[in-house]
Amino acid sequence: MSIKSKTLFYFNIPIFLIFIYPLIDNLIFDFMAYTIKMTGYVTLIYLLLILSLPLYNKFGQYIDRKVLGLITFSYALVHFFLYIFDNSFNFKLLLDDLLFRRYIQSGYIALLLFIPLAITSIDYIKNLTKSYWHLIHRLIYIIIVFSFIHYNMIIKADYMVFYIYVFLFLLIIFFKLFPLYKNE
Amino acid sequence: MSKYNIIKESEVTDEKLFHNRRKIIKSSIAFSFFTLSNLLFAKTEDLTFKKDLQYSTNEQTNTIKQITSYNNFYELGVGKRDPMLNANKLQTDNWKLSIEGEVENSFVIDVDDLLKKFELEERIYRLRCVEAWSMVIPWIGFELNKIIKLSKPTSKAKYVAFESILDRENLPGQKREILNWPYREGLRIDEAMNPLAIISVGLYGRVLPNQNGSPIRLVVPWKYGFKSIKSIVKIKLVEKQPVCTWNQQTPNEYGFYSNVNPYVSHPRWSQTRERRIGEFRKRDTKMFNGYSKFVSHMYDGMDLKKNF
Repeated sequence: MSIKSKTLFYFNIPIFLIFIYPLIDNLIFDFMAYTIKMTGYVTLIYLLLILSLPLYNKFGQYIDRKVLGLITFSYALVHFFLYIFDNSFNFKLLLDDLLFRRYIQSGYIALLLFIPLAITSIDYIKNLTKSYWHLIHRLIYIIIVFSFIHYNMIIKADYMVFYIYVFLFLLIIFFKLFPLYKNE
Repeated sequence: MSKYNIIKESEVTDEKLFHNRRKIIKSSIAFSFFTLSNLLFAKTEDLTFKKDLQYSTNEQTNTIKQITSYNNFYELGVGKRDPMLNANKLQTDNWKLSIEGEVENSFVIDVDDLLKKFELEERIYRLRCVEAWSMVIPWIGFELNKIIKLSKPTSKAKYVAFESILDRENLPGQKREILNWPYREGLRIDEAMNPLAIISVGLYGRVLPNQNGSPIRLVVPWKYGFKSIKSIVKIKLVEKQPVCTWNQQTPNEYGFYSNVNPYVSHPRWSQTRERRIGEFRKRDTKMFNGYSKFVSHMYDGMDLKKNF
């Protein structure tokens, strides 16, 4: 298997697990809430992984960054469509959320900012963007920040998992500024 | 020396036992969560009670499995399943409840004696969580007003404050300051005297499982679930509005009243709809959780947007 197909295969395993798991665990009573939550968590983890890949060039032997990026985008889309579906495609409810709920707004912003990254993954369009490509792909930092805000704002009291995410994010930033290895 | 390794007859696992063992292992993996929740519930004793027809709903009740494995009880962990998994960490032996404050007759009572004092009845209530999910639960208990009347409140008693157990040593959730422990809640005196407000000591005809707030808890079905404080150790009648844990934690999100109200959204999410646990699609939330007939008169003339 090529690195691309390996990445495609392994990083899509969680989505199958998420949907198959309720078949063996008969205590999942809120299927929609559960799938929305889990796809969200996986998206957050993948976002951090995308950011950390260039830290060490050996990662590139196992994971294709572009494919991982597109998979992450598709997880975010699934997360979004599950939310739309859970609101019965009711335009009034969705608009109400979009206008008044900040956690929903930050989710929308993160998803919208992700679109140009996905589009410019196509080689033909990538070539058109020339030197802007790197600039566009710096958006990943802003996407992560808005995803974190999105997650932070739905927490009721226990911020433990959130702090772990933020810690990992800061750790990655640290190693980006002070690399341990020189990538050639 | 023999060519073969000789195994004594006594060392061979009996075939029946061998298959049995495999069966046990197999079933314990596949149904571990199922058996776990059943076992935890099976421990509790039966109660004698009469059925209530006046206040109970005739809606389909949630299953015992759902009611005992999907809980918010942060003392036993923040995950929905944590309270079931940590249920044994709550020590309920020799539980005492104290009634004090602005009363003529303050007293401390053993829970077993409390159960003998009042006739128990079954109340099938809807429970609406502030997180926008709901259940229908067949509680066993008695009206809160009965125990308050017993204490003979003075004219200064305007509110009722409730306090939950504090046991940092044993309760896993209290090892961290997720909330300002112990958990506290409160009602206005007229709300507390309303016949809909009950002290529950059981569900589905049996003593309350620990994860549901054993041995005594409050149930106020027209308010969001967090008002129905679990594992109560103290009831205090007071003159001023008491401190309530969630209200103290985030005052702009969880008001003192916290009546179920689809027209006032939580600052972060909508309260117009809810998911009945076990159902796939959401349903509309009703004003006062569908109990307007019994409780709306208490809020006449009040701005419920301000007093949320």
